[in-house]
Amino acid sequence: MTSHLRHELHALVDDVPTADVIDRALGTMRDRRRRRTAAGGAAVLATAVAIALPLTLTGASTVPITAGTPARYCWTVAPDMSTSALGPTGTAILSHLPDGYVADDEYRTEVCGTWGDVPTLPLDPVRMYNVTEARPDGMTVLMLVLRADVMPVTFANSLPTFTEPACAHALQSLATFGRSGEATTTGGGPAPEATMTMTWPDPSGLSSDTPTPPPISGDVTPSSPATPGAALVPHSQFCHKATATSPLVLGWRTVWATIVVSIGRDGRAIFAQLTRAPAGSPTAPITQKQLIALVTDPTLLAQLAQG
Amino acid sequence: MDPVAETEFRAWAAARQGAMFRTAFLLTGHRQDAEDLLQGALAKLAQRWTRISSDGSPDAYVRRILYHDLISWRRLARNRRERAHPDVGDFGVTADSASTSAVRLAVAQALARLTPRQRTVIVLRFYSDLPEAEVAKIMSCSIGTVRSQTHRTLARLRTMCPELSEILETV
Repeated sequence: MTSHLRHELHALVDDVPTADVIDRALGTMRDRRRRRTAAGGAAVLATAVAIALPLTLTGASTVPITAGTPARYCWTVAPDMSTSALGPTGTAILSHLPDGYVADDEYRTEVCGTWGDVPTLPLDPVRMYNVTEARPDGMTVLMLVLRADVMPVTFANSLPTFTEPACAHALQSLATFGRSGEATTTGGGPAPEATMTMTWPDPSGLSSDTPTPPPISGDVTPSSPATPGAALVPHSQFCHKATATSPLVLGWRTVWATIVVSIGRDGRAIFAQLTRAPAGSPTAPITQKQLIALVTDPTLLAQLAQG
Repeated sequence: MDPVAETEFRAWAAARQGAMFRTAFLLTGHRQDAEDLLQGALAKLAQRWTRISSDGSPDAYVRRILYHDLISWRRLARNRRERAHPDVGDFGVTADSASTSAVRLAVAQALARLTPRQRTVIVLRFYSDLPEAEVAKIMSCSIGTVRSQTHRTLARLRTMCPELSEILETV
């Protein structure tokens, strides 16, 4: 009986409390409009710089990836988390920006996804993707996804030219942060000029050795106090190490490296980065939802902020 | 969006987001996914609010976006290996009697096992109570397709869930 089926469908959801998403929807709409007017092809190269250099620093390109073998990762987060509050519920818009392409509405609709969809996208290995979310509180979160075994070091010579000062500031900072690692690991060309004021410390203290993340533990274990603006410490000490209670194994078909850049209202950049765990670490599966929860868990990030 | 349009949009959304959220919830089976789906749809509606509201059918527009975004999501995520709750989603099956609960659980499981297209047909026809022509417009297909999809989906429901046979045998 139709009415019976109707009754059951209503009974399934009628008592479900409604979510208020109006403000978030309006925020998303404003972000789309802002990015549509501000986006430019130069952002692609700048994004590449921001991705390639930190990845190179962590040695992601130097380890061969065997098809079908899960890669071990651990999660490292930069210490200056004072402005970090990645939203657990905001929808992130995935913009595919190959070769200077600026996504229009239709294309964006086609590739639009949420945080949870990001790792499963049929990503082209030689292209880059970014997920940008402008939040009502003024924070912009930029998520960059790149195949770890494709390292576009040639992009490292390109200067980021961003129309949005906060993005430029953040990505320039990342580029500067990774410059030393890029030079020692790849022997690449001249490093990009940093033309903006840096929030990150002076890169002269960077260690030339690619650090190996420590064994995964259940706790957030800061390896050095957060000292934004002070002398730079080696990457291995620069980052707080934090993982979930079990070791993380990404069982995706292809291994991706992910960087989440969070740009505070004050223009300071913080970033979280997915890097390889040491060989021999015990393995356990992690679901995409767990990974996303790790990225967006405000409690974890607050712990990291406090060291 | 100018302040007047935003006020109108907020008023409409406040009145209708409950119903739209429940539709999205039935389509996705998961509360978080439903929120994201609805947020995206409302954002798209807000972008075109002046034109859509003057046409007089924001509801139909949002339903259309919900459906097409759902299809896009599934297409993008078809290689996804894990789902948090693959069977019954986040539906809270709290019924007044054991038999009612069993049927409701069977409905939830059956919905989860349908394809997005089939689930949309069922939700729009039997939850939103829309006529076939309206469903066809939302799904960008013909009325005949809606009829055939409805027929096949109900047949599949009968096959998948014997518990539903009783309530579906005369649909």
